[in-house]
Amino acid sequence: MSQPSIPNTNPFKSELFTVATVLVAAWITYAMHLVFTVVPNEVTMGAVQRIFYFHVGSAFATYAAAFCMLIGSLGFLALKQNHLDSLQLAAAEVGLLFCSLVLITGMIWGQFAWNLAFSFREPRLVSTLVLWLLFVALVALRKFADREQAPAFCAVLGILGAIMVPVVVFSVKLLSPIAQLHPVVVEHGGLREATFRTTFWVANGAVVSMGLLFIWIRHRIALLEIRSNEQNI
Amino acid sequence: MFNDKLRVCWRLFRKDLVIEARRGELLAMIVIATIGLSVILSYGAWLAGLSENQRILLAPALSLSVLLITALSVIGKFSEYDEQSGALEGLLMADVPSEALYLSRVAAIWVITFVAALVASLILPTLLGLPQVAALFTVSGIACVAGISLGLASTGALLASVTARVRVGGIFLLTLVLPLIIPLFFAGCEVLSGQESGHDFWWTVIWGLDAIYLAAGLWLHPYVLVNRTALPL
Repeated sequence: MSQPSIPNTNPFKSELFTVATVLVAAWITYAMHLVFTVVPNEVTMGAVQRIFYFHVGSAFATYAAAFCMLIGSLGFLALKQNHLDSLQLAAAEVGLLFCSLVLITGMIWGQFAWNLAFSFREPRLVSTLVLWLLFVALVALRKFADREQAPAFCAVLGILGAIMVPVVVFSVKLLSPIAQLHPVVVEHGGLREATFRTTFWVANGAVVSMGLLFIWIRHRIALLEIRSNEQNI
Repeated sequence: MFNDKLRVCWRLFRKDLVIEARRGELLAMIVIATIGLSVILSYGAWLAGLSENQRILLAPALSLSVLLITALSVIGKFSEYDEQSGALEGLLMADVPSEALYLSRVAAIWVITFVAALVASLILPTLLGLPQVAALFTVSGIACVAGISLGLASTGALLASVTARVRVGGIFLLTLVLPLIIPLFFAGCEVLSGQESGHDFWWTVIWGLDAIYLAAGLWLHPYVLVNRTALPL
């Protein structure tokens, strides 16, 4: 495997990284403020409805991670560069984190809304579970494969996994609405009040940007790990 | 050129089947595992005191579960033989095209998995005490099982090359392949359960995913062999 030149400086000591971290922290704080102190309780669901602001954002962050995973995997197979493998690794781990959040928040919502934490008759829940299993498989493969072979193997599985994302997302849209329990809020013109709408988009943006920041941080940690391995620290 | 590759593919496929016919280990293993699993699962169904209608509804899911578990345990073994005997090494040194290598492996696994499917569809309904022993032997039942076996063989052949060189070996194949196969499993259950609504959609899922997996396998297979070809000869 060709080794790229990894800069011999601490990747966390960059101005851009500091600015991004501060911005994301401020965005998250503002989103929390909107969700917990500004938005009123929803009429039917009550306080539980607030979970929706993080649930949808986590789903978007999962898809963003899957996209980064695809870029990292394709890039690694084409160029054989360590930083692309690190991007794939980071995206898979962060994807697993956010996909777990989607599942957990979805189950909490389901328990209150439908009196069911999980139902095999709800395609979105099942497809998210499949996606979660894919991320688990990727993270496990990284742990079990030899260090030399892991990048190529994970890239192959990463591409297969990323191909599955549009399949699981869009297949849901092809199913009859009768077969689905999941609410379709935004597409059906929900969130009519401006406060709900603003909070929804601010919270989504905050969670997605936090996901991307996590990928950046994990990517940098992976590069530091490679460097320390090269130098036998 | 294309004909040459097909000819090589056919010869490799015949070699795999002839060796398996002489040895008989995998076939014996798959039949015994299928019978054993069928006994355990159908006992569970009897213990739950399910009515005949409920058992009829359960039969497709149970037979596909048996198929998946037995097939995945055998696919892993299939690749381990080639790795341990050095056959794969020999084929790569003989400059055999990787497409032919992959397609012949898919075909061999497809045939062996189909045997498991046939055994399961004979034994399970009998053990479940169902009068419709031949229910799965309709044209649509056979086409459905063939479609699921093809998806299983396409992903299995690709990822078995990965797990053959991973510390935990063949058992790990279940972890990698299951998330990719679950959508096929659901689609198969829907088709075999005989519900008319949404039939076309589930057929599209089965054959669409088969096409995606086969194409992805053809494209990605050389990458999982890349470390082998880099060996000093």
